[in-house]
Amino acid sequence: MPTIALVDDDSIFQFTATRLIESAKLARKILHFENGGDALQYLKENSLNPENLPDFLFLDINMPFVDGWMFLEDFVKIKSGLAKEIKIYMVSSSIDPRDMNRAKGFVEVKDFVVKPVTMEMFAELLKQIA
Amino acid sequence: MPNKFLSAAIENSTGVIIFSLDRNYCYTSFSLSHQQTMKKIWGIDIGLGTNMLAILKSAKPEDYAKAKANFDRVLTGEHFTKIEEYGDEHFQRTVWENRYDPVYDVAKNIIGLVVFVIDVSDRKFLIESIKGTGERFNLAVKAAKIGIWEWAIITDKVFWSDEILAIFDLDDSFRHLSFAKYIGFVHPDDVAELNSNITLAIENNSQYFTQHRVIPPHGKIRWVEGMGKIILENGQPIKMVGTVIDITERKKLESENKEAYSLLQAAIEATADGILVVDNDGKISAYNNRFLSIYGFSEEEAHNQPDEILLEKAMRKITEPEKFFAKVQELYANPEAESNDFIELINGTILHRFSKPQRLGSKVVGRVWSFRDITEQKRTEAESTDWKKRYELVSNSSGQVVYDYYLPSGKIIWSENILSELGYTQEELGTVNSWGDKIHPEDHEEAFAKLEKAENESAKYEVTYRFQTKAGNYLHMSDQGFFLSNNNGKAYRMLGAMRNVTQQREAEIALKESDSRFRTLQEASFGGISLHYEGEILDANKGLSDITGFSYKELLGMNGVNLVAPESRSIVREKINIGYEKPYDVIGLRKDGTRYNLEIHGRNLPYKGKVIRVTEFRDITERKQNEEKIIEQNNKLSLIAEDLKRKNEQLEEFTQIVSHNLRSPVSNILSLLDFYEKSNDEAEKVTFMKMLKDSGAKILTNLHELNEVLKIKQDKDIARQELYFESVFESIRNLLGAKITEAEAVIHTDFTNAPKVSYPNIYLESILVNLLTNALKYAHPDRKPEISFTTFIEKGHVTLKVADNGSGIDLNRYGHQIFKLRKTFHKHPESRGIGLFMIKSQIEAMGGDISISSEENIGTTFIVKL
Repeated sequence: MPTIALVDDDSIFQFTATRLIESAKLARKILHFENGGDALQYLKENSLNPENLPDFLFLDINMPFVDGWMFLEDFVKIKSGLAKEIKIYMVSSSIDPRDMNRAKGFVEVKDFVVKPVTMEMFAELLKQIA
Repeated sequence: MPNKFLSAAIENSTGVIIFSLDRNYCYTSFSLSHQQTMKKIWGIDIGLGTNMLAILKSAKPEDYAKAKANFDRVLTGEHFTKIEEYGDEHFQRTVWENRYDPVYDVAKNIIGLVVFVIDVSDRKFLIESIKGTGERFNLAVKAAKIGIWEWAIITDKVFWSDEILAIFDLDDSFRHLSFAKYIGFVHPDDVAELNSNITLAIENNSQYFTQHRVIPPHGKIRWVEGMGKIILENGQPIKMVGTVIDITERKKLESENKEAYSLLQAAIEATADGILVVDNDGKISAYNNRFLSIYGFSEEEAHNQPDEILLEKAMRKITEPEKFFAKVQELYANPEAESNDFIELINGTILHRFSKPQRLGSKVVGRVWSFRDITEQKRTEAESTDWKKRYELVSNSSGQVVYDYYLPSGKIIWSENILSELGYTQEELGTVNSWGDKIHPEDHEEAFAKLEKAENESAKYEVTYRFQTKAGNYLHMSDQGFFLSNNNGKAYRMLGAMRNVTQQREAEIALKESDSRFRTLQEASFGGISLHYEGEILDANKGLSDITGFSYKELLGMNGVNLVAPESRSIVREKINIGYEKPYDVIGLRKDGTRYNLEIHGRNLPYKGKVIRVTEFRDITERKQNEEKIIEQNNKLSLIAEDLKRKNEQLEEFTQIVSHNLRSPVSNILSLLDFYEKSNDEAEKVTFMKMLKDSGAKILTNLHELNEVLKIKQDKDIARQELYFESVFESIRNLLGAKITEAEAVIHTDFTNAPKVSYPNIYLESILVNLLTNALKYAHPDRKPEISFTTFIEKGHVTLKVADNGSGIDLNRYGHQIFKLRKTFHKHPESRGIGLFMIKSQIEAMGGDISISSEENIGTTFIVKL
């Protein structure tokens, strides 16, 4: 089972997502980050340790401090130094097509998912990739 | 030809030796006596064109050098007289008194020289006397009145013969004199030359010739001519012997010779062929052979008849003797006058007659008449016949009627096509009057005025007139030609061609009609139109007068460039020079000095053989004003576009806000509701319910904030009031007093440079509160905050600067987010992200803007253009 990272400043989303993933037993482990900066920090610190690195990363756009876009820009720079390939999903409440198009500009982003995310959706996303 | 008379005069002179040379020293003439002399002395046969110096050079080198020196002197323009000796060295020489004069052409260029040799045959006796001794010698000397002297150089004793004593009018006591005593008699002006001649003779062991004046005791100045020779003994000069001749009388004669010479000169200058010189009393003083031949006199007849008879005979041969006589009378009454006219002889010959006074010095002593004889006309006519043949073909094919009019006779010779072109025979138009009568009366005066002007100037002419054909109808003729003039500038011949230009004329008339149509058209045009040629306005329409204020008359001949303002003139000239044919704008200048916007549109048009510039002038003041209006509208539109763009950006911003800030809690609510419904655990349900409430509250807060911002964006007309920064800042300092104290912040203010602003109070308070709060919030953890508020005027705007020494921010990373809603950059508990977004909205709503500069760990500065 994969390790999953949730990068979102919205504590309610963190709560609901964790609960769904856990109840469906979709993940071995769930990592929580309330902004992009914390997530990057973690990835850098564990870059050589595949056990600690997530398989999937659910990334919010609108976050204080380092937002989703800034995270992606930095991730592009560090990804070659990571011991594991990390699959990223943009997860946002935005239905703004500009956000969706911008996300497509990053090959690292597998898909753009609009909130709310149901259990079935999580299962699908995780299954698909696996 | 001046030389003609000269040569004639020279050839026929009998007593004197005369010869003339050209610039190359070749004979142009010589008298018989000169030819004989040359043969006698040097054994040379001379002829016209013989180079005198060349033959002299081979015959006698010393004489060559001497002669060349003299000739070259004359050729520089000098007149002089010299006594010279030519021949062998043993007194077989001949002594001459030579007068040298340059010969000029009409343009006063020296073309040669004439040498006038005075016969000094009496010197033969002298030469013989020195050569020999004895009674025969003495007799000869006495007969010739030649004085002899002998000077013993060593003893300084001078012996004088009786003749010298007689010349000097001295008695016998003067027979023995010293040389110094003799010098004492010599005219003071001549002493130096005499001394130098004698000295030279002694030094060179040669002889000398001299002419000088002496003043004997009786006081009467006499001219003497002397000669001296050194006698050597054992190679040493021991004595000098010489002769003295009284030449006082001859000197008088010489001046008469001069008179003769001036006659010659006057005759030469008259530049004519037949010469007659009459003195003031009407007596003939000279004539040449050609004069005789012109009037048909034999030489014998001329020599043997008294002057009156000769003159009377001459008069009888003239067709209008009374006219001739009147002219003569007129000239005698006016001795200084010169005349130049034509006379006709009974035998039909035409004479071109010149007359000018004969001068001796400044005195008029007579009158020189010269006559250009009939040969001139004969030659002209012969030439014109040739000429006629040559041009006949051309003129026949081109339709030109060629003519040759000889003014003195009044006769015209026409090309043969005169019959086919005009219907007349040669005879019918054979005289100038018969031709003049055929010119249309209306054109007559103008045509003749033009021709007379050309005649007076011996110039080309071009004149058009209507000419009546034999059939009686009139043709337009273009008559072109030129006058030929004689040496005195008088026209005597007119050569030209008449061409039938009737068709061309008719075409021109048709063109004039079309011109007037064109004029009507251009009058109808709104703009001004002008025709220029080389800058000058040839024609203009009424429109141009209307635009410029100049009348039509004023415009004609005016330089078109003056219709534009001085600063535009160089542009206009440049466009004209390059033949620019597109419209361009300049500043026009009216007659009254006022200026206006002017559009010029010029075009080059070939017109009647010239390239004329047609220029259209258009007053574009109104258009310019419209243009300005359009520009103004454009500016307004771009302002509106700017505003729309900003509004659009704001709309996009709202989309963002709605997407993130409103949809986010809503999606949470949906998730939570799902959990709630599916849950059976009551405790869990309570947790879900609390989360649902929080999410609802968050939506409400966000909506409220959004509403506030929307209110700001919409409420642009919020009332401004005059606010003093000092007092507004004081109130917010009180408001945030607790926080300031808590942070131990130091606040500096300086509002002196811009103490007040016209602004909504609520906005200004909001701006100050948020910036102060922001500075306090992001204080550096290691130091107490220091915050300064300063106002000043920049580019006319009241500007607020807020600087702190806080933790700063990496603008490269976060600059794009700073003024966005719900953005916070620090994990600070109070970061809500609404403040900067809101004040930016407020500032922009009032037409200002806000910018930030920051450096991490140094501080942040906000600049607000209110």
